[in-house]
Order: sequence, then C-alpha cells, then structure tokens
Amino acid sequence: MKNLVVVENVTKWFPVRRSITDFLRRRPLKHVKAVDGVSFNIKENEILALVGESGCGKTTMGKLLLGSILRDSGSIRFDGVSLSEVGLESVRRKAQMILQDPYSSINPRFRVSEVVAEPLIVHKMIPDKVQRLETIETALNEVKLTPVDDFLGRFPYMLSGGQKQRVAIARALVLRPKLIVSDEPVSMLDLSIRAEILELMLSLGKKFGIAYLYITHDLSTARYIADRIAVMYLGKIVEIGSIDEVLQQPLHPYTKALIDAVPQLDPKNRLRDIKLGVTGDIPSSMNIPSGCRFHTRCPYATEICETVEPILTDDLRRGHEVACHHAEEIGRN
Amino acid sequence: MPLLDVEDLQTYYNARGGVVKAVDGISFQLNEGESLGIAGESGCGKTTLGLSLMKLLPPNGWVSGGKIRLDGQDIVTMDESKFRKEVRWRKISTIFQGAMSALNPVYTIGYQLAEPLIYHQKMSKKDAESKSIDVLKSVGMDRDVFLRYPHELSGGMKQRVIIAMALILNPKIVIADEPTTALDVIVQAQVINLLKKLKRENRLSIILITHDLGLISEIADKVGIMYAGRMVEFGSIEEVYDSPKHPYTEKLLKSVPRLKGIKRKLEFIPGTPPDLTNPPKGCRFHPRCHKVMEICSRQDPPTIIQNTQKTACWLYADRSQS
Repeated sequence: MKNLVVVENVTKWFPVRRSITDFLRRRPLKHVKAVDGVSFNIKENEILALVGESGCGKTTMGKLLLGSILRDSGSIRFDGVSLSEVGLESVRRKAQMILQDPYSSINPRFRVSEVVAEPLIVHKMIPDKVQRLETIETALNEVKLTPVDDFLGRFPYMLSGGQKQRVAIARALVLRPKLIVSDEPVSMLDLSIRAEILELMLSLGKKFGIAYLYITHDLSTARYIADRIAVMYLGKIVEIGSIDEVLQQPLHPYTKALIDAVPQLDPKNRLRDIKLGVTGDIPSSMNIPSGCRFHTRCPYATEICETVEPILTDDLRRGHEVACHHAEEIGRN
Repeated sequence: MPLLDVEDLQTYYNARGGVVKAVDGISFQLNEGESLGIAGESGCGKTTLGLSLMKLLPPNGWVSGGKIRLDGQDIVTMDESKFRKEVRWRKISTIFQGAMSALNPVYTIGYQLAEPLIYHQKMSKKDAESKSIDVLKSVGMDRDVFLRYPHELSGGMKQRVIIAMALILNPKIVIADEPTTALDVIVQAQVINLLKKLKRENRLSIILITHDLGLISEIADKVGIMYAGRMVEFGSIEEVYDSPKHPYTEKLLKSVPRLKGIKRKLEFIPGTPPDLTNPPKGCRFHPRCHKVMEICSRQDPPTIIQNTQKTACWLYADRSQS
C-alpha cells in the first residue's frame, strides 16, 4: 500500500507567556514542547491509533496534520506533496476532522442540511443546488440518519449525542476525503452508542477507502478499530507497530504500564490490586526530563536512560518500532 | 439487618416539560463491608440515586416515595438538621465528581480537611490536625500536603484529597460518583487501588456510580444495572457479569470493547434512552429490546429472583410461575 501521510521529525513548541518580572529579569522564554520530533506514516485506507495520556501532544499532532496549526520544523507530506508546497485548502478537501464533542463542534443555528452542505460551499464544489441536496442526502444515508427527509431540517438541539456525531461524520464524509482525523470521537458518547459509531467509522472507511488517524486515550476502542498504534509520551512517539503485536507484546515500559492500568471486565478483578508499572505523575512538558523522557517514572531505568535519549528503531522486531534502551529485556518478559 | 436498605425509592424533579421521574421505584440492600456498583447510561437516574442517599437533591428535586433505611433509621423522613448532625459525612459520605473543581482554591488542604472536625466534632485544632494528617497518610499522601494549596497538587493528588475528605469522619458508606473521570488511566489505576485498600482494611462500603463496567468489576461485590429510572438487574458481580439475564445488561456487556482475549464484533443497542417525563408504558426498555414480546409494552415486568440475581423482565416470568 502507498503511504498517504508521511510525517518526519515534526516539532511544535508553544511559547509560554512570561510574567512581567520574568521579562524584566530577562529570563528566557519557556516553551511547552507539545510535539517534539515525531515521525510516522499512515498508509492508504489504514487506521492508525495515536494514544497517550492527556497532555502528551496527540491532539496537537492531529491539528498539525491538517495544517490547522503550523509546525515549527520537520515535514509533513500528504498524498505525495508537502504540506508547505500546496495551499491548505487542497489538503483540507482530502483531509477532514471529527471532533470529540458533537455538542460544540456543530453550529447550533444551522440545520442538519446546512451543516453537511458547508464543506461543499467552502470548497466551491457542486454549485448546483439540486445536485448538492442529493449529495447531502446520500451522505446522511451513509451515516444511517434515516429517513433522511426527517433529519434534513432539524437543528442540532433536536438530535441526540449519537445522532449529532453522525452528522459530524456526514460532514466529514461529504467531500470524499482520503483521511479523517478523529479526535476522541466516541469518548463523550454513551456506552450503547459508542459501539455503533465505531462500527460506522469502520464500515465507511472500508467502503470509501478512507484512512483514519484515531486519536484517543482509550486502548480498548483503539484495539477495536485500528490496524496500527502509536504511543506518545511527552511529545514523542515511544512505540509504534501493528495493534495486535503492540498490545500483546509491548516493548516499551510505558505502553506496558498503560495496558496494565486499564480495568478489564472481569468479576475477579476486585479481589486483586491493579499492577502498576509506573510511579508518579506525568512531568510538565515545559520541563522535559533529560535522556529518555520516561526515565523519571520507569521501573527499568538505569544510568544510560538519564543521559542518552533512545531513538525509535525496529531493530528488535521488524515493523515494530520502539524507543527504549531496555526494549530487549522487556520483550523477554 | 442490612446496612443500607432502599425500598421502592422514587425521586422526582420538577422541570419545564413536567415531572421527571429520575428514580422510579428502586429497591436494593447492602450489607456492611459490601461494595456496590451502579451502572447505566447517562440520564438513567444513577446520580440522582446517589444524591437521594446523601439528601443533597437540588431544590427542584424531592423523594416522593419509598424508604431509605441506614443502620435501621429511615433517612427520608428524618429532618435536615438531624441528618446533618448525625448522618451525613458520619455514616454516609460522598466523593464528588470532578476533583479539579471540588476544592476551594483559597484555603489550604489542611484547613479544608480539618474544618468538619473543628466545627462538627468540636475537636481542638491540634487534634484535628493530627487526625487530618492520619487520614492523608491513609490515602497515601505526605504530611506536608496539609499546608499546600489545591493548585500545587496534580489531578490524582486532588482526587486523593477528596477521598480523604469523605473519610475524615469514619463513615461506613462512601458514595463515589464517577470518581475517576478526567483522570488518566495510570492515575485512575492508583485511585482504584486506594479504594480497594480502604475497602479491605477499613471494611468501607463503596457505592460506585459509573458508566464504566470495567471500573465496577474492580471494586464492586454487587452490581445494579439501571435503565430509565428503574433497576433492571441486580446481583452479585459474578452472576450479573458472567450470566446476564436482562437483555439490556446482556447488550451492554457486549458493547464494551475488550483489551484482551478474542476480538469480537461489538454489539450496540439501537435507539436512545427514553424521555423520563413520559417514559414508555410497560417495560421501559421494550422499544429498544431485541427480545421484545407483546406483553412488554402493556405491563410492567415482574422481578424474578434467582440466587442473588434479581431481574425485571418478562422473559423469565413463566419459568418462575411454574
């Protein structure tokens, strides 16, 4: 399969506002290193899950991919062309987004038909009104908001959370994109509806050959939907590989800890403690630890981890990249 | 005698569209040292149930029927001043949702922790301080947290402080309503382990209210599944999780993606939960049920009891009669 997205060594640092005293004392400007040298690719029609704790930079990465914020350095190639060579409009025609909160991502004063028509109008596609309406109806059919006539004239407040998220998907779908960046698309939804939306995303992806970047903190839904998974920690990818291999045989202690920390549906759970692979809290991305940025919380950390930053490599297992000095040891357990 | 005995509880709200029957006839019992998980989708009344137990309903809400017996005393009819003096925080307390905003930013942690001891228990400041520090230690925090302000603590630490506050007067029951939302998985795991320890060492009864069925299996001995203001299934966690009887429970369990084991196709429940000002007649789940029968839309389902498992569903009605 061809690579649809190639991200190479992308960084994005946000400056932190200095107080007046800091400014007068000429203290250096501090940065939140949200994305700090990230490389990965997404193949056509592939679903890549990007997971990590809050503040790890996964949402920023999604925005960088769509060009809704601009990177500081590195390169992003989309469908063969660099994001800086072409205008953003042509990228956005092929790359759309679904956001976490359908309650705020849809204009409350727009009818469903207007919400779905908006991308077509912005990109000056299908100027003919009758044809446009047909396109909108098809999109609503595809996300199973039927009978379509019933939904076209509704305002968002007349829809349930799940229905709103379907409208958001229809809006993303109407341009026939090659990539949809979806940032926690089901985390606000109720349990019984969550599965339905995931299933819908999967089937639409297959039907129209759409690739997804599925940004989430939830490993279980990632496992269900994704082909590959990238685990981020403090602005860097620490492990990336096929979803089954990474979840079954993680090579990075952080991935391992994340997997162990998820409560499973097993009545026997209550009889034992959850095994905790790491200690403490995630450090601030203003003060990233030296060497391996995970060493302050890592149970495997040795001297080398404090000074030498490990690089992401698939030396150990082909196609399964990991950035850890002790990956071999972890792979054996 | 059970520690908590809820009998046919009805809690209603006055709203613009009419009366919302958020909790509409719920009964269950909980013994000392036992923990209970209440699961259900948003709007099923699980939070209202928790608020009714604490007598902390908003002004437009009231308990319109039923009994809540705590240690043999009916708290529904008990007047507020007596409840405040003798029951709330002492026998039953709560861990509030959203640790980030539940603490007062302008007082130290120590002040906020020791306040009830000084004013309610008339302890001296010194005793209150040492008691607060003991409680902080029992939730795994250093004594120097006593002098810190909320903004100096991380989310996980704030949640521990909130738990410490709930424990300060040694209650027998703690109601935890979504205690770990907004926490990352690793911090969540730390908080879960803390609750497990309190349960084990202090014989604390935890009533865990959440939509996360995995979380419930980490804490609860018994589980109640709520739908549209009713308890559709109740029983020991083994029975309910391993052999769910109610079609709603069955589907709910099958809609959870698993991290381990075989990857199964997820099931989902079509439709949305009903409007509680005007719930459907008969079984409230019947419009979404995949095993619906003719009688379901006409009459309320009977509650069938098997071992510890109670199921409100017509599917099992015949078997019990014969």
